[in-house]
Amino acid sequence: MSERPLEPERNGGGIRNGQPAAPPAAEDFEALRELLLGPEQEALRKLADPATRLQEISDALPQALAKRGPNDRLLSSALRPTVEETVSQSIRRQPQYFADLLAPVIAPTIRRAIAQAFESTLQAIREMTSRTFSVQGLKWRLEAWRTGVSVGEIAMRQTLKYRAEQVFLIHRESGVLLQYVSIPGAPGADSDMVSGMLTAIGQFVTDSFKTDSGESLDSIKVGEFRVWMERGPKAILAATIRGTPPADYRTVLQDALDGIHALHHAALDRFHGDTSVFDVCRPDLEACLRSESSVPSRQKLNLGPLKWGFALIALGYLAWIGYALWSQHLERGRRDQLVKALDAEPGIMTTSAQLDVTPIKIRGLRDPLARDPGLIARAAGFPESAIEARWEWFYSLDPPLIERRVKQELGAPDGVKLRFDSGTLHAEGRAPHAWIEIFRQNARAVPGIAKVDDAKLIDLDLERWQELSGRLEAILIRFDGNSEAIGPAQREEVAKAAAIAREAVDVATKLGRQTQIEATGEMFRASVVVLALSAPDAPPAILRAGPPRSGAANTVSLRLQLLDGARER
Amino acid sequence: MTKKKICLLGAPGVGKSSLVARFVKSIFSEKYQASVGAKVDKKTVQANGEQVELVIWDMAGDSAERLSHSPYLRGSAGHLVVADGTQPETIEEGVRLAHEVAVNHGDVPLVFLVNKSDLANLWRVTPEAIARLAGEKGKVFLTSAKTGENVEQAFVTLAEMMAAVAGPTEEA
Repeated sequence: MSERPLEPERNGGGIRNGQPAAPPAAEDFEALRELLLGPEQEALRKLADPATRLQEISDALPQALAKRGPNDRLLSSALRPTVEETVSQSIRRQPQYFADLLAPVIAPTIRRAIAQAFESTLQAIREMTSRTFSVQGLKWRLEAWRTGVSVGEIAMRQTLKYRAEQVFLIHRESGVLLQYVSIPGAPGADSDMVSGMLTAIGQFVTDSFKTDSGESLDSIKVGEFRVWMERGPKAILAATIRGTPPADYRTVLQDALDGIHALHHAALDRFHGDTSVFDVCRPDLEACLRSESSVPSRQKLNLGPLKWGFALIALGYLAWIGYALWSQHLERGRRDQLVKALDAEPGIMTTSAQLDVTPIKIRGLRDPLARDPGLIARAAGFPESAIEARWEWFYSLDPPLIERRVKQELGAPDGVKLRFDSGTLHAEGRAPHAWIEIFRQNARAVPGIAKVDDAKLIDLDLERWQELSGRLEAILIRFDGNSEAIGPAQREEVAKAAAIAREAVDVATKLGRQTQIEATGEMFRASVVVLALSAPDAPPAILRAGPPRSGAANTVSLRLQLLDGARER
Repeated sequence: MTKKKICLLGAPGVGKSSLVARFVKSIFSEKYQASVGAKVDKKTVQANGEQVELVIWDMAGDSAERLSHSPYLRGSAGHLVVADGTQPETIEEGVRLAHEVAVNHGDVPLVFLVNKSDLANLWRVTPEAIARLAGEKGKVFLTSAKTGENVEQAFVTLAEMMAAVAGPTEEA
């Protein structure tokens, strides 16, 4: 800006010599304004200049933002929509670029999550399968049967029973124990040493097997104890667990560790041995001291119908085997009984029997007079088709068979009883003379009969003859005075005697003997009686007159006699 | 309480495990048992008027080359390098070890222990060699795990050195 001398004349704004001066020219004012306000106008020009303003804002903006600080919510809120929109647009425009950018960051996390999910599923399957057909599984079934609770509930109740007893927060780099919580009475060595050794073992495994980064020892199992370890960038969270924890317990540990990292990242980073700063983490660790004994939902308990199907099939199979064995046992008994029944039957004797085949094969001997074996089998419940029998004929010496054979061969009149005993055939009762003769002649010819006992056998014909003899002897023919002829008084007695004599002759014929009729008395009179008896219709007997008996001179008596040898007509 | 991880390093058979047993449990056994991997123990000591819990990693004896690359050294706040007074070569190995460890794991407080001082008649390390050790960064103790000579002092000294390092850092 140039210095210019004040020139009132030219400016026309002053008073000259008491008279109003001419009005100053516009350029004078301009010059004056320039003179007075030049620097300010220059500053205003600069402010109005967009290029200059942009330059100044760009210089001031970073400092301004830095001054507001990271905790300024107002600034964050103001910027958020813009930033979000910008990022959103960028991602839409170049998705691949962002994917490539983020892949190294999120890929390990995704891999881990997937592996975790798989491990959870596999573990559940392993637990189930290992218990389904084990002794423990059978115990559970027994308990289920006893208590009426479903076997699935019992199984899962057992499966899920676990208790996290100790939780260690370990400084990852040094292995120093940062914080430790445990349930009362938790066993184990000094927590600091355990912490160190867990770290050492983890490093040993990683070092020995040269695993890729990100893969490390995350589980140790000793008997019923497990140690599960979760690793973060700066710290390790380890839990000792009794029993079998569900796979999602690992998520609990992960969440706790993530929370600790988020809140205490700086403290972990700066750690130089002062563990007291991690006392605040105790609640997080205590939250990991979980135990599980509650009954899980039914949906989880479904062990699958397949197993029950198998069990049912197995049970059915066993029952079928049992039934088959039992039936076989019964059938075998029935067949044995049949053979015994056949052997017990008089006149039947089995020599061999194949009972374990169908039809049964039986061989043996059979008396023609024995009962039909087919009848015996049918009575025992075996149809004809069930047996293939082959019988050879033979004479049985069984007493019933001998008696049967005697009856068949000799016949037996009513009133005769035949009994076989120890080789002797006993006959008892009344029989016609002819049958007795046949019996005596033929009985011994029947196989098995050594001796015949007929002492108690009564001859019906002989008996009759003796009766007739008695009746005839009772007849007395009386003659009156000196009469020697047969008069009406004697004719009746003679006729009676003749009838008896005729029958006696017939009976004697049956006996194979001759009959002799002897009339005794006074000789002439006796002869008259003999003559009267030997009329044409008189029986063919030997008539004989005998001397009189003492004291009976007027009477003639009659007597019958049997003579040996058959009478010839 | 402050906890510090320290590592015992050295060639095999110099007496590292015996020193830990003496320091922690006050016991000694003539029987030699080679260590495998690392064994962790602990003991609380007083250092600069403050209680410090030493978490002691007794590492299996090995060459300086291998030990210095061991993952077990990670996060260690101090080292005890042990040599055997009856085997001069272990002194050289110890010096090498101290260098290698410093290169691979950073410069942390270190104490040299020349062990088996009770075996006077077998002692073969010259005062010059010990003087050379003293010239290295670190302090030197002639120790005996058998008699307990200087064992406690060596550990406590390391604890004090670590406290001295940690103190200013934390204040900063």
